[in-house]
Amino acid sequence: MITSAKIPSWRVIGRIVRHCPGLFGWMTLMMLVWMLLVQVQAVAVQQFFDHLNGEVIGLGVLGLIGVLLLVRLARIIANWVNLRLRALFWVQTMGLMRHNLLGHILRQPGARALPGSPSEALSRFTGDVEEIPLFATFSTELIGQMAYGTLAIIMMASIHLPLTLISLLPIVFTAWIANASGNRIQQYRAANRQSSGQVVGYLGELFGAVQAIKLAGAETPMIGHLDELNQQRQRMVLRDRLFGQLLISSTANAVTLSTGLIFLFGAEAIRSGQFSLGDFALYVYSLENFGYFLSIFGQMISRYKQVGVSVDRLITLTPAEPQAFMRPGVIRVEHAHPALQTDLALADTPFSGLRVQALTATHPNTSFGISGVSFTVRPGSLTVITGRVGSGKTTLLRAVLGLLPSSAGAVLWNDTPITQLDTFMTPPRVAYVPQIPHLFSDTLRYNILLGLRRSDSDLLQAAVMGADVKLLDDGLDTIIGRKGVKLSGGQAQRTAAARMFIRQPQLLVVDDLSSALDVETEQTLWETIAVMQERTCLAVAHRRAALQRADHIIVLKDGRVEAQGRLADLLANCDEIQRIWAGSAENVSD
Amino acid sequence: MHVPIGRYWTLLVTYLRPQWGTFALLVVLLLSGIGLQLLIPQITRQFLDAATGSNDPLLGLAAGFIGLAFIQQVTTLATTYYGEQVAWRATNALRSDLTQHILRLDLHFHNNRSVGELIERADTDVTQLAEFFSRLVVLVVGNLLLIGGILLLLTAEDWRMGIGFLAFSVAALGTLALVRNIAIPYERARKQAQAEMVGYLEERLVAIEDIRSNGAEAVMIDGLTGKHHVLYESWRALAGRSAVLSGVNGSVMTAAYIVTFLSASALFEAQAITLGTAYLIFNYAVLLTRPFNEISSQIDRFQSIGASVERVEEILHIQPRIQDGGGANVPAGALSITAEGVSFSYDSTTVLHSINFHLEKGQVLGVLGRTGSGKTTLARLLARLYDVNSGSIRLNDVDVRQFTQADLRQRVTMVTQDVQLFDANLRDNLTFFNREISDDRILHVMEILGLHDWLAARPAGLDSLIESGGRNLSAGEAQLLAFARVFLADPGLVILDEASARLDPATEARLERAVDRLLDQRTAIIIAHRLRTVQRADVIMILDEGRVVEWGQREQLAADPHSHFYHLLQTGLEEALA
Repeated sequence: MITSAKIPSWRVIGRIVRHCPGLFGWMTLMMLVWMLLVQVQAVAVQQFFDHLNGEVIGLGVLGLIGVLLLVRLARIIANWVNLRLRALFWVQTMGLMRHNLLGHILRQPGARALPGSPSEALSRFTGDVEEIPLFATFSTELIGQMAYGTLAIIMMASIHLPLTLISLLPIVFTAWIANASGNRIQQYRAANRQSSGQVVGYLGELFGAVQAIKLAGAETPMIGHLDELNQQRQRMVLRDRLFGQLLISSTANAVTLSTGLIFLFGAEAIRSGQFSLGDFALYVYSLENFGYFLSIFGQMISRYKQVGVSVDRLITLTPAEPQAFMRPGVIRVEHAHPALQTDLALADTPFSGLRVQALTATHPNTSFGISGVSFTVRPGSLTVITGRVGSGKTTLLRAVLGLLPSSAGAVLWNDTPITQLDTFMTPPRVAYVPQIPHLFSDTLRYNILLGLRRSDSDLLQAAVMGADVKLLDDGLDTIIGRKGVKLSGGQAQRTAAARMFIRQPQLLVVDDLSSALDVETEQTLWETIAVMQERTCLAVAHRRAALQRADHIIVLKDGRVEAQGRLADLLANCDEIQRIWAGSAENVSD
Repeated sequence: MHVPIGRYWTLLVTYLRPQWGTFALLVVLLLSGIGLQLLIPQITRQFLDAATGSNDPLLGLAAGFIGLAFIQQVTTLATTYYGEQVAWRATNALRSDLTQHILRLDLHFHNNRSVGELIERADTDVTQLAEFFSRLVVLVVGNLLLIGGILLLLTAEDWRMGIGFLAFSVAALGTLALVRNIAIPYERARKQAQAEMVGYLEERLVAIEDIRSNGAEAVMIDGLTGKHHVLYESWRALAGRSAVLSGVNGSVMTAAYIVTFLSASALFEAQAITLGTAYLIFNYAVLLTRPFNEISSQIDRFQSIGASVERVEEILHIQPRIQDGGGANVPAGALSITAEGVSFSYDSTTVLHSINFHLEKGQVLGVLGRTGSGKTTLARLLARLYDVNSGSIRLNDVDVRQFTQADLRQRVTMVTQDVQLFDANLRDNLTFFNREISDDRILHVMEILGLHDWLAARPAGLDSLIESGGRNLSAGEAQLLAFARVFLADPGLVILDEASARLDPATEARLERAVDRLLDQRTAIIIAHRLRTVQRADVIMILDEGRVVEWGQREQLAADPHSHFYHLLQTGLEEALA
């Protein structure tokens, strides 16, 4: 875990509470009302037993019953208000943290955006995010309990000071032990979390690969691996729970022990009438609630450590800005608002060329990558990057786009070196179609526009989708299933291409767009690109359809530029492209 | 809404039976715990009566009392440990069964559910059930016994009081039963809103690059706020109901005090009880409300657990549309394929219209057609990922619906363009965690595929970690691994669905020889959009809008100037020669 960027948990909680201080104040007030009224009940019980014992009390039994009823009514109202406020507090703060995290992740270099699998990241977005506001609401309980505890101790001490001290002894002692074992709680909790995360991550992969598993008939071994992870998790959960229970029940059983001590040391005081039965009842009543307070306190300590674990996990999600998740802000969750629509500003300057100079980048966790790649993309040209599998084509594209950090070299746009590639290489300047586009469970229109303000006719014109849309039942309103499964591979790729075209970028960047398309659709596509006004295109491709239309070809081999130039020249001089060219011949005669 | 006790029971019996021994131990521990709880107030009374009345020695009583506190501690811990153990064993078994069931459900089911939603079912909901198992025993059995014990002991003091407290208990439990279900629909709505929010996030987290490169960050973040609005609405509604529940619960406690005040003062004034007994009544009354208190504070839990049970059961009750056949043997060796009047639609749009063809065993069929023409659908029908709406598909003249799916898929293998890789080592990725496949066999296959050098470049070899979704592999490498998976099976029919689409020509050429070996003595269907890929086909089928528009020997079609195939060849060749 990261230790250098360690932020104390209390500061994190404070920052989160400061997002909505009014809510927190009202919740605390309601908790105070809720808790302090408990001691009114204790006094009623004390008065009742003193009354039985023959003392004269002001209210009589019926009066005491009236007090109990009023207390109940007041507590019901306080609780109702508190629960409503909590709902708002939770959603508001959790929403803001997720908002911050997603925002940060979306603006970070892509290939490094997530530390683990998406499902693993998802568990941080849910469980870990929830931990902090949950603790904040627990702390309002703690404040209420502390006020209550103070009041109870003052009342007990005013009756009999030595017995008060003796009876508090076991309770305080167990609380001290609970405190001392704090580190262990944190360890057990972290191990528990981690093994749970592994199960969730694996389930995510399993459900995401259903078709592949079915086709491989691999259901049984896949479940076998799940069982291994399940068992591991069981061991961790059991250890965690047992230890937690040890702390909780010690404080609870300490009350019984306290009662025993009152018996042991208070017998004479009771016999002499110095300590009445009513006083005894008040003591036991208060000690029980006090014990509960300390057990809450014990839980608070362990939960506080859990907040630490969660904060660590949230920090690793955004290493570039550890405090991203608690950035202040406001999100409105109380009222519905229309979905955001964005407009694209036109690029401020015309495109006069892209220059890549000695670019070097390695793919994270492997030694594969590109080194010292240089080339130029002229305005209005089609530049094609080609090479065999593993030659670094996609890595190069991603490094140019800033989706992958580069370790050396520069990218110049209109002769200006660009430092923040990842934010610069976006619409309206650049748009990109990846090899495997991702679609969302929403309408086709949403999937293409992604919030861009455009009319349907614009949309149909810009895209190569016309024929597809007619085939779908609800046209642009068709909900495409998870990952767009109901669309064929080609349709999905055309949807992604439509996303790019409708943004009318100065530079189109395409990673093997044609791989899922048939011959005719592929040709149509290259023609569409070829006839577009003022378009510049940088594409990974290895088909003749693309190579022939290319104004400039870059041949990659083992991450370096093997050769570059026009097709005819390369065919004459470069072995690598000859091999690719021969391989891509659409020649079917034997 | 009603909490389905019957279904709880069925689940309980199914998953507790295998561990009855531990379960019996748990029951014993629980009973001891209850006994201790009943005993402690009795000793308190004895002490108080002795202290206020007689001159009996008090020290022994006080010491015994303290001893009991320690025994209680040990009992509580043991109960927790065994309770959790029973619960987790049971729910792990359920999670495993549920996941297996979900894997068995066909793609109709999966297409309409996000991965996030399924994770909620198989993890969040099932984990809730762990609480259901551990708490149900403690609550329903333990607390009912505790209530019964208290009522018996109160009756022993004075039968009228026994009846009074019995009436109180019945009224209290009746009221709690009346209100116990009011939050279930609201809890379900909140869970649904949560699942939708999680599903939304999940889809965005896998699509980070798509979002960034289209400049859609702000829109995606804004959409997340929308999901939280829905979540808030559902949570607020739930909060109101929860407040009612806890209000009723607190009122029961107040009522218990009132009953104690009235009955104890009446009996004491009638000199029917001692002061110590008056305190005993108070003690038991407080102890009596605790199970109510626990039951109802757990009602919230029970309600969310109830919603979880319902959702889990709902999925368990969905039957796959595709059922195993009677178990006809899939013949060894190459398989012949016959399609007769095959029609199919996913929803309302018909994708395949009455397809007929027959392919002899050992032949290679090349299927061409534009995207959306039904090629992939046809492949899915052959592997029985879906069933035909009408007509039949037969392998060696036996309808595919007569085989078990496991047998069928051992003999029919399909490579798709979308390669699914797991966050595990290379070996497990190739074998799908099947530990029975030896390393030797895997290495042999890697050799056939020409991946020997590639593997040698990785220091960890087969133990190399593949990142989730194969992010540390190129698309081409991922595709090669998919081929390796096929080689590890021994199919009689191989379907390559645009399988080489992501390979560059040089790598593809390297695969050619390997594919030759794979197709040797096997029937094959090659679905392609490139003409070159079908060079090895004996027979060509061209699909258009779900109909077979052309079928014939490749060589004949290639020579026939009126054929579609000929026309396609011209387009292709024209392109190649331009």
